[in-house]
Amino acid sequence: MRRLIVRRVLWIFVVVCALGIATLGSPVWATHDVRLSEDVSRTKHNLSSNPDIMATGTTEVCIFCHTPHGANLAASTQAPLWNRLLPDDTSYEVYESPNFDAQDFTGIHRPKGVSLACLSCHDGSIAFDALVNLPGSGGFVPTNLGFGRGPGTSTNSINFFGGAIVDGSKTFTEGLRDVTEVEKTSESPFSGGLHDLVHGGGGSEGSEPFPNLGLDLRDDHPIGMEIPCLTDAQFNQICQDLTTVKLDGGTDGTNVAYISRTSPQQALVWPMEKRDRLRAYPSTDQPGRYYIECASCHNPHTPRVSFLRLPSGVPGLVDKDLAPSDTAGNPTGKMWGQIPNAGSAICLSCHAK
Amino acid sequence: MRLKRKLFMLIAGALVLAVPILGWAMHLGSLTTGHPEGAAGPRAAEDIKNTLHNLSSSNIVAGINIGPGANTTAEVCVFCHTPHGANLNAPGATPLWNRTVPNPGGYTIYGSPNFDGTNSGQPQGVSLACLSCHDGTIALDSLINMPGSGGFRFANTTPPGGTTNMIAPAGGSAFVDPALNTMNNSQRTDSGPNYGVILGGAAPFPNLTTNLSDDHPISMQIPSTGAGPDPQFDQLINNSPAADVSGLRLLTRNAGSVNADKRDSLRSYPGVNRTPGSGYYIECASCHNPHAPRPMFLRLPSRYDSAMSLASGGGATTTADMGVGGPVELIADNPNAGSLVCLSCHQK
Repeated sequence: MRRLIVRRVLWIFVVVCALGIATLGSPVWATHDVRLSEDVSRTKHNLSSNPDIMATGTTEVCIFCHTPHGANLAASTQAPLWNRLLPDDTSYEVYESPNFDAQDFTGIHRPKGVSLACLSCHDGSIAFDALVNLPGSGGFVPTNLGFGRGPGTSTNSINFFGGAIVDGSKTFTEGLRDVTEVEKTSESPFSGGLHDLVHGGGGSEGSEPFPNLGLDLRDDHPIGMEIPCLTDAQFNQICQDLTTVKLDGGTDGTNVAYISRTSPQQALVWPMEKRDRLRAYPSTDQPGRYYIECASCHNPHTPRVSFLRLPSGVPGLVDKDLAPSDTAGNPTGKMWGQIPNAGSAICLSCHAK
Repeated sequence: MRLKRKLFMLIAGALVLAVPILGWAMHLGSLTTGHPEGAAGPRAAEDIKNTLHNLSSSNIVAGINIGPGANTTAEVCVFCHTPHGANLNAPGATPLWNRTVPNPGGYTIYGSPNFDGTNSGQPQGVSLACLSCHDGTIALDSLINMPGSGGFRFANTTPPGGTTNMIAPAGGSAFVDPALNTMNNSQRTDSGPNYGVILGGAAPFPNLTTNLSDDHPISMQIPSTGAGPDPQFDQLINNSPAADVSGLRLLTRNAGSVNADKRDSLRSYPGVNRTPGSGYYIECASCHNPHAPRPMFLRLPSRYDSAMSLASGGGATTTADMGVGGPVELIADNPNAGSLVCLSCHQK
C-alpha cells in the first residue's frame, strides 16, 4: 500500500517535471542570435573607433554621452547623466498628417526627454564635443549645461578627423542625403555595429544615410507623441495593460512600459532581455500617458542592425516572415537578431496594420 | 533496492516522455502564433500581411502577381513607408511615404453634367500616394529608403523615379511590366477574384492609368459649398460627426452609425493645407483602406437599411453586421453588399 502511494507520488512528480521542461521552450530569438543586447564599444557609437568620426584625445567611450558627475539636468528624467548640451525643443518642424491623431499635452509634438538626448548629436546642430565634463579632472564646461542652439562650446582636447560626415563646426554635415546614394551589400547586415566597423569602412558603407536628421522632422516617424490609446483602434492592443503588467516594475508615470500587442503573460511575445524590448516612455507630468521617443525603437548601445531593439508580440508572425528568402523563396535562416525588422515586425509590434 | 530501480526507471521514462510533450507544447504555441484562418471568424480591420499589398517575400500565398520569392526583402511596410527620410513633396498627406510621388498634373479627370463636386483639378493628398503605384507610371519598387542602412535614393523623391530592382518578377508577371517594374497596362479584364485577401489571380483594376475620367472622382469636395449644393448629400453633411483635430471627418447618413473602429469608417479628408474645416474631400482612402484584409480593400458602410435583403442570403443588414464582429457572410465579407458603401454617401 505504501509502495503504491510512493509510486503515485513519483508519477505525479514525473509529470510535473515533464510539464516544467515543456514550458522552458525559449523564444525564437534566443536560439538564433548570440550577440549581446548591448555592447557599445563594438558599435558606431564608439566615436573613437567609428571610421567616419575618429575621435582622438581620449580612448573613453561613454564620455561622449554620459558623465558620472556634473551631468546636464535639463532632461534628467530620461537622458541619464547626460554629458552634452541639449537642443532647444522648439527648434523643430514636426510630423503631421490627417490620419495622425496622437495628442500631446504641450499642444505640439515636440521631442522630449531621451529624444532630445539623441538629437543632441543627430539634429546636426550641436558639436560632437559640446561636452559638459571632459575626461579626467579639471575639464568642466558649464556653458554646455541646459538647452541651447548652435554648436555649443566645442572643446579642443578631443579632435574629430571625420571624413564626409563631420563638418567644420564638429557637427554632422548637412546635405548628405542629397548626394549620397550608397548600396547595402548583402554581406553587411550589421550596419549598427561591429560588422560595419570590421567590414565596412569603404565608400559603399562609410556614410549612413541618416546620421543627420536635421531640424525638419516631418520626414521622420513622429517622436514626443503620445500613443493615441483613446482615439485610434490600431493601438488598442499595445495600450492594453500599459499602466499595469507591461510596466517595468515601478509605478505609472515613472517607469517605461514595454510594448507588446499580446498579453505579456503569453509565451514568446517579447524578448527575454528587457533591453531588447520596444518601450514607451512615461509622462512624469501626466501619469497614464505614454510617449514614443527615439529610444522606443532604437537602443544606442546595441550592436544590432540600425541600433534596433527587437520586435515583440506580433500576432500571426511565423518564422517564415522573419527570414529573408533567397531567390528561390526559401528562408535563409537569418532571424530577428540579424535583421530585427524582417517581416516589418518592428513596425507591426505597435501598429495593428 | 527495488524502489531505487523503479525510481530510476520512472525518471528515465519521464525524460523520454518530455521530448514529445515538449513538441506538443510547442505545437500548441505555433497554433497561437500561426496565420489566421482565411475566412473563418471576423477579420481584423487591418492586417496588411494578409493582403495583396504585401509585396514582400513574406507574402503567404505563392502566386501573388507581383513576383513571389523574387522580392529581395521580407519587410512589408517598406514598399510604402519609411521611419526616416520620407518624401516631403506632398507633406502630411502621404504618411512617411517611401515612394516617388507623381506630379499632380497630367491626369485626365472626371467630368459630368451632373457633377456638382468642387474639384482641385488634379489629384492631391493621400490619393497621390495611391497613384504612386496605381497610375502605372512609377515603378513598384521606386523606393527612397531601402531596407536597412545605406540605401537612400534621393533621386526617387521626384518623378519619374526608377526601379531599385527590389521587385523582379521571375519570368515576368501578368501585373508587372518586366522592363520598368511598373504596373502593366491592359490588365482590366476581370480574370479572377478581386478580393483584397490573397487569393491569387488578377484584380481588375490594378492600373488606373493617368486617365481618371472613368473612375469615381477623387480630390473632390463633397458638394456642400462652392458649385452649388446637391440635395442627395444633405443627410451626409448634416449627420456626419464633426471633423477631428486633424481634419479627418467620418462619414455617415445616419447619425450615430459610424463604425466604432475608425479604420473601418468611410471618411473625408481636409484640403491640402489640412486645416480642420477647410474642406471635406473625397480621396481614394475615403472608401479604401490599403491595410484592410477585406474585399477590394474596402472600408465598411455606415449605412444600413432594415428593409434591404442582401444577395448573400443573410437577410436584412443591421448595425451588428457592420462591425468586425458581425456575421462573416455579411458586411465583412462583402462590404458593398446592397451597395451599402455607395449608399453611405449617396442618397439614391
